[in-house]
Amino acid sequence: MAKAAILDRIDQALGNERLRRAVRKATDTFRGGRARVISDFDWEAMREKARALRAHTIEHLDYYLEQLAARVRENGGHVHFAENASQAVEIVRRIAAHHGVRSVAKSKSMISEEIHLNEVLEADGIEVYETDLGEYIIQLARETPSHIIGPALHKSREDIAELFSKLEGRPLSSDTPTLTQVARRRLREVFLKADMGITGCNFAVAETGSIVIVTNEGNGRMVTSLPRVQVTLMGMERIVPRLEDLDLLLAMLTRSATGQRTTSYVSIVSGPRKEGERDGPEAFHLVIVDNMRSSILGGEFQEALNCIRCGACLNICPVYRQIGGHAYGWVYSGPIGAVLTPLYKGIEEWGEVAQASSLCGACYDVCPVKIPLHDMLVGIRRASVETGKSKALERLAFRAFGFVMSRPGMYRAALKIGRLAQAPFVRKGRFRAAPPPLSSWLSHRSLPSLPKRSFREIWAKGIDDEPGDRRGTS
Amino acid sequence: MTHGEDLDFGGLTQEAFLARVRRGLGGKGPKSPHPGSLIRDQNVEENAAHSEKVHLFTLALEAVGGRALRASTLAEAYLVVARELAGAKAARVLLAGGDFRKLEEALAAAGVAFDRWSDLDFSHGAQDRALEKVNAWDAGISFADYAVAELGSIALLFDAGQGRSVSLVPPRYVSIVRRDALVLTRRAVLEHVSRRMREEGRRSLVFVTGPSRSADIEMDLSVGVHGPGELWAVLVDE
Repeated sequence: MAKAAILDRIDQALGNERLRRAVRKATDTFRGGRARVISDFDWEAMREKARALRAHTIEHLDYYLEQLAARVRENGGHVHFAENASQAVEIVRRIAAHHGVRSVAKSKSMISEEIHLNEVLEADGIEVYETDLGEYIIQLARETPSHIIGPALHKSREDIAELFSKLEGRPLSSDTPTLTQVARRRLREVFLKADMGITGCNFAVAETGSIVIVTNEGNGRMVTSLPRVQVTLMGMERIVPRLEDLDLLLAMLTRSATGQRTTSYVSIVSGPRKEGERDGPEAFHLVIVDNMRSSILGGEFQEALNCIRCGACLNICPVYRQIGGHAYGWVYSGPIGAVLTPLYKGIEEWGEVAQASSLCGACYDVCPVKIPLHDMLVGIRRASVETGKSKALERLAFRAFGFVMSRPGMYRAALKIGRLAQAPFVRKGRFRAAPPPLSSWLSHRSLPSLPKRSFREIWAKGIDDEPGDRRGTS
Repeated sequence: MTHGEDLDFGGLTQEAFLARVRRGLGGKGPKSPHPGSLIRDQNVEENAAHSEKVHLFTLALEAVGGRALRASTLAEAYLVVARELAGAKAARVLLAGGDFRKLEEALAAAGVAFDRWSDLDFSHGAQDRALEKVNAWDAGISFADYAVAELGSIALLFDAGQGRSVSLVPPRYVSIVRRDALVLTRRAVLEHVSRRMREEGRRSLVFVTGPSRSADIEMDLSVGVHGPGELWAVLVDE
């Protein structure tokens, strides 16, 4: 089921030129920024240090989680543990009910996307507002994030103006200041009336019992300053041992994500407000979520848990840059998504996502914590094959290919036959279907159709006598 | 509330949850030590002169669209703040933390009205109204607890005097940075605050670097989307 859906989504994305332009522009901007700031210090040495810090933390995850939970409680906060998505959702529902919550302001949380939290709270009659501008836009559009850093980068300003105009009940111009002001005014009301703030968690500090939220807009600060209840959802691997460890990981995260030396805001919250404080949450709940992470521990993919969610591997990936985030089918996209999705959702059904990569290794080269993503993609592919899905027809096709390719006369004959025989299977200049054994191969790929003349024929006779040919395109 | 009461909200017990983690980790071989997380040599901190830190801070803050001002004394800093706010047509501002009598005099002389964070009515039920008032201020003003020269960051360690909303909700934040608050690295602040969180029970620290910004509309930079669109830092030599 996942496979067919992924193919449809990839096809859709490849056909959407506006989407592809937007994705290229955004990823180029992120990459350009990163390139400017990684020379601040010995980047390779820092990558190694960050890798070692993440590896150490995950290897001692039980110890640091215990320390974190104890500190949060000492600070007056509550700690909850969820084995899976449904437990996490249920915990948040009960927290909301306990505090009589009517309205929720959310700052960005990928894990809340994993567990489909908003839908459940809304079904309980609670208003839920995303407050990151990009998340707000896609919430209005009823879509999901397409990039971990720029969730709405697939939306054009015209799309956004249309959404906001509908909201305001009047036509709005599509310039950035106009749209920003609408969001500021509307979300300001949300911050002031929300009973509960829900946040994600870039890092959690074991030593001080703190959660850390990195934002540029300041919505992370609003959500942790104004509502009377704060709930933070945390994937259990987000932890760092000491407060000063943040310096290195923040430096790597913001440089790799947006090319900033630091974001505008880094909020560190270690529980509810102190006696005498006039703002900040009165109640603080930390929900620590496993949701399949413990099944990755101890195995060949453990290092995938070292990820600090910067999105650099998305920006560099030649496949992501063509198809965008939605084609990956779940919360995480790009190379890290192609690894995490099968691990979290099941390799048998989702292993196919790992095919959405070229194994060029660029993702490993940019990863600030040196996760060997290309090796993992191969590993997922291997594990996917081992789940026993029949590739017999594919193997047959490759055998036939080898046979024909080793016999020039037969190759030329085959090409001619192919050109005549392809007609019923070609749509918009691309193969979408074919008889077996090609059908197996084309079930998850499309191929350009065979040209009127082969390269060998053009080479022999020259190209000038056929002006209708498309040239200079690839 | 104890952990036992936490269980009322569902989910696994801590013991059951950690047992799963330990089972997972069990198969893994020898464990690595904490590698340390220094970005650079610690003694760089001691070697930087105040003027050098001021220079670095100014460059870094201006690079992200913030505004750095300079004063040799606190008295001069207050005059600078009052003059610049009047020049920016600020009608009413909010002061939080510190002894601001001199600043209040300077503001009054410059024709800028002010309120004190400590005077706001935050009693139960009045909080919303108090915050709506915060919404109407032209600027929030407070002392920086720390400032990070290498990044141009202001660090605020919140308590009763240092309100979280003051530097966040108004469209402009003015931060007064005393000489001993300015350090070279973010790491130095984190080390210091780690101790203060554990010893003084401080609950929240924020690093603020320049104005609020977003690039969520076609990667086009816009400022002031949620937090202040303007950040001024007044660096004081005393």
